[in-house]
Amino acid sequence: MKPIDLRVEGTRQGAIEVARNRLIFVMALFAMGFLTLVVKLISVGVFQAHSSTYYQTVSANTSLLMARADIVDRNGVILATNLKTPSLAVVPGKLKTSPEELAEKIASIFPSLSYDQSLEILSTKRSHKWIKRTLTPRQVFEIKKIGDPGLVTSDAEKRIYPHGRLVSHVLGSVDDDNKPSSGVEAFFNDQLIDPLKSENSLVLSIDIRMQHILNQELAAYKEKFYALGAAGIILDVTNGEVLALSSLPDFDPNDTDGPQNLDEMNKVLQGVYELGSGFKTFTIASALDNKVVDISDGYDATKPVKVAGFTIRDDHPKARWLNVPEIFVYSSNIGTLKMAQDIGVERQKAFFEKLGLFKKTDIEVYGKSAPLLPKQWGPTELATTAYGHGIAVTPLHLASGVAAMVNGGRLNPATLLRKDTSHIESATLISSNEVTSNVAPQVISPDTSEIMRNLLHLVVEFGTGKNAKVDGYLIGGKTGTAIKPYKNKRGYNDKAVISSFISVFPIDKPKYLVFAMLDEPQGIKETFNLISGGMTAAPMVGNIIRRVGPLVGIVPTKQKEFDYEDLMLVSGTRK
Amino acid sequence: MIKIFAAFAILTVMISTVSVYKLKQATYDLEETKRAISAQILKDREAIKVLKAEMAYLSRPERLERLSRRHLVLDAPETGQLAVNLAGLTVRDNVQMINMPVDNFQLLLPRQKPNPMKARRVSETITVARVRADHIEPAIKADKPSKIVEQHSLFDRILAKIGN
Repeated sequence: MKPIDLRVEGTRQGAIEVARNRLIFVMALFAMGFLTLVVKLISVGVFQAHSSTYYQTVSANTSLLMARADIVDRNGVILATNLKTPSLAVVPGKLKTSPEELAEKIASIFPSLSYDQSLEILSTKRSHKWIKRTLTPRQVFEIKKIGDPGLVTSDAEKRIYPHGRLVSHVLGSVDDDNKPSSGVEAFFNDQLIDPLKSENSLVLSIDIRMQHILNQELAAYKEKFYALGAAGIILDVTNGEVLALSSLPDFDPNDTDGPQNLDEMNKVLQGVYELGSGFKTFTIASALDNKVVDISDGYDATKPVKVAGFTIRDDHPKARWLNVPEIFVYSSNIGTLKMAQDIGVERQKAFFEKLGLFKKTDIEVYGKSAPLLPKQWGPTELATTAYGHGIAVTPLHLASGVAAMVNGGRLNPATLLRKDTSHIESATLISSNEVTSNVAPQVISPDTSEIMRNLLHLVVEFGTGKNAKVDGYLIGGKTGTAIKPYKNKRGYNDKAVISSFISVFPIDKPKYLVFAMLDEPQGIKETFNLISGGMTAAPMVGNIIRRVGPLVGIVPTKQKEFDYEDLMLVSGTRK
Repeated sequence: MIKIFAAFAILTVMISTVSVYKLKQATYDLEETKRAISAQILKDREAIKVLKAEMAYLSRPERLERLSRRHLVLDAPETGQLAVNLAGLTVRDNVQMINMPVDNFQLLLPRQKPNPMKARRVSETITVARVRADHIEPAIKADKPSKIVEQHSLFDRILAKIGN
């Protein structure tokens, strides 16, 4: 079918033309509109990126979750971690119920808040005030049940120490705003709060099992001897790692912000004491290393000696000529000071300086104490420092020094960081090259160190340290009983002593050093009212070794013969 | 011709617009899922942290010791219970160790006949686990009836013998 060609002529033709033109104009408008839509659609679909708001929320959440890195022990057991805990605050402007009514409810939910206290908080003039931090889930539920918009719960991070008091002196603690006050928390604060490293944990050299054993024995003996305090340390003599460090009384870092009084200070790192006979180890090592005496040489210890007006006696007098092993084993003050006089002030000072006794230790804690040294080094100071009086150092100074005496003569600075962290996942918070310094300096010759090992062993076999004997283990050790100076007047109090025992095992191949001390132990019947290191601290260290040895897989030995034994004039029979 | 081309072009524009839009929407959905998942990961990680802290709290050495004393008849190992190698377990003097080629397991070879005297000495040195009193009591209670039964049967037997 052919389309009909209709044509209108005349005046009507003009009207149709106008209508058509108008139609074209409208259609063009519509076309343009649609074109705009198409272009916009394409541009929206193809070119425009998403808004990135939620990325920011996610990253904000992450940083909130990980505001502070974890601290773990050498085996990866968590010592400190951050958990989200809800906190309750009041926004007075939004309160719908009266403060009096609310205060009553809040006081019933939180036993620690009285009605008056909560009313005071609720009627604050400020726009936002914290009511209570770290709520339990049940408390949160109760608060939500009240349903007042003016009570706001928000998540905050709280530092949690799962082991409580156990490692308190090493870790330190943080306050409500996660600001550290002491311990490694303070020392490594910059690394712990570094957002880039928050996934990695700080690996300490502490072994929580040894820490527990040390802590338990210290607590038991502190109670047994009614001591004011107790402190102890277990050190790896081969590399200076601190495996356990405890000081009693301690504090709970979950509740309190650091030590509250002087009693709670870290006695191992911050307490300076005249540690007594432990220093004879240094004097004798110095004499042997400087070739002042030979192992079979000896001194006359029959009579007390007068040095610059003071009379110096032996605590365990033999009143005869003693050779070097006997001086050490029977802890003869007279013999040691005569030896020191032969060494001379200069060499003795140089030796102490080499052992780091004149400066603070390098351990990773703030607030370490510097040793108290004699103001001038005369004959008296030379004599008293020889047996550990007149010079006050921290127990860690003594421990590091004795470790160097037995490990072949190298002084490893004590550290709280595990040196090899390769076995623990995500443990690169502090890389090992930051920790390992140069090779430890040689302070005595390996030969002298060998002799010192044997001498320390003889002390436990025959001498003042007999009570530390453990069947199957070869132990070396030295007792220390130091009288304390009066707090507010000159002179020394004979009744108040620091009893200590420093021991190394297995002594044929030294691995662990155990130091323990009791502050002012009181005599008890069992020890015939004796408070010397050999009666109080030595059995404690023996117990620690008996428990730690099998734990760390130290193999018992059947060896019964010792070097230099023939030099000893022993009364009685050995078993 | 030009009409067909125009129609084709319009169609292409429409199709591509729709597909681009769909692609965009799919990406958006995926990102939404991803966001949900990362939120979930955060939540889970938080839960793991809580669990780890709880694990550390529950495995405190002090608590484990307490629980072990209450529930296990075990004591801390003593030095006498540790042996360096198999040779350390015997009191015999002439013990020869050989290396088995298969697993390199060290095997003890007895060089002399077992000596009854020495054997008794070994049995004496075996450490008997110290059992707390409250653990012994049930055991004794359990033992008692059996002893009574035994006595009873013995008595019966004697009676029977007399009877015969």
